[in-house]
Amino acid sequence: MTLPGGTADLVRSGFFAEKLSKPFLMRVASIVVVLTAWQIAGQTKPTFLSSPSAIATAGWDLLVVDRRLLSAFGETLVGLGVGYAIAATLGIAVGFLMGRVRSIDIALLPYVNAMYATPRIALIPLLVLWVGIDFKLRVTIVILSSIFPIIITVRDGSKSVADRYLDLARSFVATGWQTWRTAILPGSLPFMFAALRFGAQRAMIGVIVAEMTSSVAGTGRLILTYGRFFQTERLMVPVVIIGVFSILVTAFINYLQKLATPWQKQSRGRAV
Amino acid sequence: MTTASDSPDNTDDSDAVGSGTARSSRIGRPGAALEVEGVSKHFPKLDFPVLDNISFSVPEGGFTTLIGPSGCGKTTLLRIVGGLTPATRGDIKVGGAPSIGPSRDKTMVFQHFNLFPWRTALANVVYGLELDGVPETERLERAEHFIEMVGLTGFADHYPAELSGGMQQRVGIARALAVEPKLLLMDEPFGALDALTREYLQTELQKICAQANVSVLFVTHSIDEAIFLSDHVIVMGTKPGRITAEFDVDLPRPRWTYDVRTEPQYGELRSYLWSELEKELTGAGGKLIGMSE
Amino acid sequence: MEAAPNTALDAQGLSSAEALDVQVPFLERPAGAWVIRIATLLTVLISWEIYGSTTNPALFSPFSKVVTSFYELAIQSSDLWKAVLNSTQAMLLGFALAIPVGILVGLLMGRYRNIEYVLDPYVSFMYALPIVVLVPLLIIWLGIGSSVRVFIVFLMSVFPIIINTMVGAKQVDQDLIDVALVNCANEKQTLRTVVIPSVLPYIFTGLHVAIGTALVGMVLGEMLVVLQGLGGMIVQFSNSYQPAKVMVPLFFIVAESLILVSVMKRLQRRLMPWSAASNILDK
Repeated sequence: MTLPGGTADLVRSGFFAEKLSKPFLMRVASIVVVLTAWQIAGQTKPTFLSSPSAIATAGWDLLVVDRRLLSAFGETLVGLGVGYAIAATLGIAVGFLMGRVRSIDIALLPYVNAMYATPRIALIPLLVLWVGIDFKLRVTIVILSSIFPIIITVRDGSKSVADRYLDLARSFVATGWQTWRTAILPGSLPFMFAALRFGAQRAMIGVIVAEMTSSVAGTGRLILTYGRFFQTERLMVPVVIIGVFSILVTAFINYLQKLATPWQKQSRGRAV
Repeated sequence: MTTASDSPDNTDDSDAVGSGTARSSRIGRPGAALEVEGVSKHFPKLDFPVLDNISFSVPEGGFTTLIGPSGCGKTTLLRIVGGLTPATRGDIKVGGAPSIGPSRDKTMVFQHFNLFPWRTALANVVYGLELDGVPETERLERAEHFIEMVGLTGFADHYPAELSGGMQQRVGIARALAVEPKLLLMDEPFGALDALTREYLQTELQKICAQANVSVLFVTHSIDEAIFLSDHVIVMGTKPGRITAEFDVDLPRPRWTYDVRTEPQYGELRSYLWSELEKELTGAGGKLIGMSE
Repeated sequence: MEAAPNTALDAQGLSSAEALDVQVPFLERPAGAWVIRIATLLTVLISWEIYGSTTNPALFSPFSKVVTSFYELAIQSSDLWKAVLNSTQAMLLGFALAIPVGILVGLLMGRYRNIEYVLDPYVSFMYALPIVVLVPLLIIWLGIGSSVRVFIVFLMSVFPIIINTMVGAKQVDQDLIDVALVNCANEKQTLRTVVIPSVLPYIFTGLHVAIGTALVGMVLGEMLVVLQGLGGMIVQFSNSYQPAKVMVPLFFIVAESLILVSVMKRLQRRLMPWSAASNILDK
């Protein structure tokens, strides 16, 4: 039996053995088992549980044939993207200010903490009154959801940019700009990425919550509609897509972090 | 003041210094605290044995030190004796009975103390007794006795984080002694301490061993420590891990009542031990671990 | 590090720094910090009051109106307290259910690789997924009664607990396990005497996060589904264009969050007395 082209080399070098390792196989097996059980159980209660096949069909429908979900998801992404970009820039700036300038820190900290502790959804009715229910609302909520975790993370991180790095720069008589470029900036990258990751997760929650409560546009609204009409198989499609998207975003930020800070050992766990 | 470590071997007729021959006559002696016979250990990824046919014994009440360069397998050997790692080949007897796996006859003191940070000193010392199901009042009494023995009276209620390194290791020693084992295994116990604490504890350890009725197998890097503490020193080589030399230390006990280093014999022992180790560091084994002449 | 007591200075009420005429920076003195805090607070309240008095009262209320609403709802009637009770009960129930489930699953996944491999796809997915998207599905399953709210709280609290516990269980110091092994501990004893105390700090981290997400879940469930409790009040008052009254339950939600965090911290100090211990002796 001859294997196509480079496959033979891959087999020899143990590539497949590594990829087909026990953890990977067990995970796959677990998913297969659950999907099968789901498929079988779903035959008896289609509304309650739906089934992988029904969801797949619905997914095909919504994504390829109808394109409805794609446009809704697009709306979601725009709101998310704009809000997150604003929150990230503002948040990092304010976080740094608070971390390094004591007076600003003292002044703002109680409000930042209070806003961080407030569930954004509780603010939505007020925001609807103030801002309306269209695009502005979604962007506002995304900003409010993500900016406070970013501020807090950046603040905590910038306070602790190890003083020893600063001492080191000073002992080499580095100028302010040089210190910034060579010591503060690289030292801050790890927690800046942590802040971005944290903010992205919160932003995603924010945009969906905004769409579900204002129910004017976006993926959240679609989910609500399908729920209202008990179209479970259609409902599950955006759920899966959002979940996958969330994982991809986090993975992407991790990848960027690895590129930007190759010296950092990635933490094994996913704490918090 | 005589100590329990006045073993019959001190009256052996062959000269201890410079003999360097493996004392095969020791193996199988009745009443030995520890007998190691033909122990070998292979790790699948290495093409040479980490330990190759190790045989020696520790007489009852004796204090034997394993010394050698990094990678000679002395810690692995200690862990095998302690039952934490299985040997690939060979037999181990503790107190005359075959020993496989952990048992109450042998306990360990670790280089990094390994105290449970969530238990007070007393609760740490009591650990082995607790697992054994010793009733509470009795185990508290016994633990306090050993806390006294290591000189930590009054610190029983402190957490490890509140104790200095030397004190933490004393808790570790008390914990190991509290179950009254036949054999005490010590893995570079003073390696993580500063030089002054280290010297202080070396003396303390001798006093403690005099009081408690234990035999000790001790692992160290330090030549001075080995000579100061032991009745018998085993020098190990690396790649493969094996015994390259053995000798007795005849310096009179107790060794804390005089400055051991002023004894002429001390200098001889030290030179001899250093030359044996140097062979390992610069010879074939040494080249493999990156050291050269 | 206390300077040696100098009675002459103390008599004059000076610190040694001040006596030496060294300028203690304004901001590092407690007085300085408070000046800034009070100044910002006053600025916020005053601008709130001014802006509130000049805009549409149906949309935004001045601070004074909020205070009177507070009085009306909290002191004159018991509506607010009933709502607090209603909300808190549901949240605590969901949270209390999440704790044992979360810790157990986290421990199992952390100590037994096989269990981790089997459960990991689902736990990771659920942790990454904004639970809010599942709300319509939960309505299909459980209707719109009170149990939905509890279940939402449960779902939102359990995953942070699982993940943090699992991380902690994976990182139990092997050396400490060696101590247990050397002392002939069996599996159960090792778990009880080494693993669980080691994991406790991680469990608390998970609980800290979970209490926050539980609160969010509670509000979510109330505003989207059951329309009861504090969340229900918010919806009710905003639908009737009474923004001042909306601020009251909002304030209570924030206050509850801060109280719960502080309770959790106190609990943590009681259960882990060793974490406060520090090295009071020099080597």
